[in-house]
Amino acid sequence: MPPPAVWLEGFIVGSTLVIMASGLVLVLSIMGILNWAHGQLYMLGAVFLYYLFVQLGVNYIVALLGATAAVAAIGVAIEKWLLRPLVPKGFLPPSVAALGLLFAIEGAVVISFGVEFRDVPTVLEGVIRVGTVSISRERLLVVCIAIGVMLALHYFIHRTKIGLAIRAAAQEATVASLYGVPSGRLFTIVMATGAGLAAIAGGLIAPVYFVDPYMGQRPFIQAIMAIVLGGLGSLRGALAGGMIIGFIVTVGGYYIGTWYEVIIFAAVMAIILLRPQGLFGEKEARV
Amino acid sequence: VKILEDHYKLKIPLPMLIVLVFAFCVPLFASQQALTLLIPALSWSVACMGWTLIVRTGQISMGQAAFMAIGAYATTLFAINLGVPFGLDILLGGLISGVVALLVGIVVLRLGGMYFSVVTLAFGELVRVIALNAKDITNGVYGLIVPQPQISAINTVVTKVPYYYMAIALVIAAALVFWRFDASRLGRVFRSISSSSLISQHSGVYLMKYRVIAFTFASMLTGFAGGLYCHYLGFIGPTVFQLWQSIMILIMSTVGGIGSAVAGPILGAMVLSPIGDYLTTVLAGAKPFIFGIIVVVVIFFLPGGLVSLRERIRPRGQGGGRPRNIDLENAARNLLNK
Repeated sequence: MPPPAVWLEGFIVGSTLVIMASGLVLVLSIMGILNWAHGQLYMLGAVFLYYLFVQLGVNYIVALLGATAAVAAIGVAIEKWLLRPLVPKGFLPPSVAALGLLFAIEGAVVISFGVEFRDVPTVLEGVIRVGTVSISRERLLVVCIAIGVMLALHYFIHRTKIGLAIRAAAQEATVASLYGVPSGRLFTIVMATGAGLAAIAGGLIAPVYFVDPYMGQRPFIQAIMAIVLGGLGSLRGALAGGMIIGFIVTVGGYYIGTWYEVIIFAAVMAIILLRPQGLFGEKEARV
Repeated sequence: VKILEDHYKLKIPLPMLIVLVFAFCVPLFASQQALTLLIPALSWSVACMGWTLIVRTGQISMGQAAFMAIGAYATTLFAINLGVPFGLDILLGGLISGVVALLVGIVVLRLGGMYFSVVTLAFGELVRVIALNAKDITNGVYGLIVPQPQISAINTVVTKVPYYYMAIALVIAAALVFWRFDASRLGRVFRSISSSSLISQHSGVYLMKYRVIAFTFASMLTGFAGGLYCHYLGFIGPTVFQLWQSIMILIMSTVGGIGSAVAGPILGAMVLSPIGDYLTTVLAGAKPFIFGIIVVVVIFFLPGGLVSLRERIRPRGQGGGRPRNIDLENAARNLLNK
């Protein structure tokens, strides 16, 4: 058995992946495309947090909210001017545009921010001891915020009117629009939520690890693996898949280093062969 | 040329002949520096042709650089460990890359669409991680030195001309293969799949088989390109071909235009690859930034890519000739409906 710290780490990685994957799933089920620049929005969240928290010395929570709002605004801009005109043209144009965006964002950050790893200082000093296990307060804070975000997302999707509209449009877009769901505005809301979720994940991970322009690539790949594992277009699947991948990354990494990528890939190939709709997916994409 | 026409019913158009003759004469007046820009561009153009072939079956591959990496590593390992001579090792490396693509394709092309994009993306990362971690074989992050060919009387360290001709030969071979592919029954099947997979399925096309054929062939030729490129570079490491390069292949092909199987990707690679090499020397980050903007601009204002410029300037008459252009929309419209 690996030590408890590894399991805690798995929970942190898993919950950031869940938050990222949920954003991907939302955009996928409403707009029908994978947002290939999602990892870069995650990286932007961390970079903005770095500027606000380290350079300007704002309180961590405020900085996190600020970074999230900024990235959500960027998400709205991307949706309005880049994706919305392209989505009706099929799968390829918006995908290629999103990949171009991936390149453009990464390049812009390399130019303005530099390629070196930057450290975000500890948010909360000290550790809490539970029996023989000691947990740093900072990681505990991250875990609490992550759980809070996931609960808030659940509330948003299942208890609010907008959430109802999102679920309806994900099930049957045409019928939903006949019942008066404005699909254009829904695109904007979903993209803002998705981008905001990516930024929160990045902002949460920034004090735990480092900030650099390429930090978005690996979590993005893991997040899409998570949604394939859980089922494309299912939020429950994103939750399960994200947690599974998070624990594979840390617990697997504890034993075999970066070879864990092989396990993830094998797991996804097995899912595609045996249960293509994923662990929780249904034949139709649903939120 | 006459023999080709007789045997394969190939008609080589005049402009292409001029381009070919020009390409053969380039080393006469080009400097070594120009060649160091052209040889990678030629290798990329083969990879781009492969990507375009795959996209014309309605699938978007996000991991073509991984097959260059497999080709390159296999080539190097054959040359180092088994002493396979130059040329043959590239051939074997490409074959290995094709076999790997076949295995991956059989599993994931059952579903195709988004699953294919996602899995090829992860596959690229997987190859990088294996190259990084299998230290006994690949020497990890330090990479491998690729043995230089022993060609009598030519010092390949000093002059790159032999590589240039090898690259030209590879591009021509690949272009011929992809061109014939496109014109054959197979090409028509691919086109029908990309315009409507549902209808082709109902007329008896076993989708997965054709997708796997396209993916395997494309990846094999991409593997050749990788083998040649690493020989030219003299080095192969985990960072030479990774996610970035996969996206570069995609961007170069799209900018060139996926409406034509051969001309578009070659044009895109030949235009963008030297620009990219120049930009990297100017400022770190300038290359992805500018390429990202270029591809978005092309998608919006020139969806057919650079090759469609000709038709913009001088529209072709209606009727006559086989339909050549699949626009971006058709190429992938029912990826989603899959």
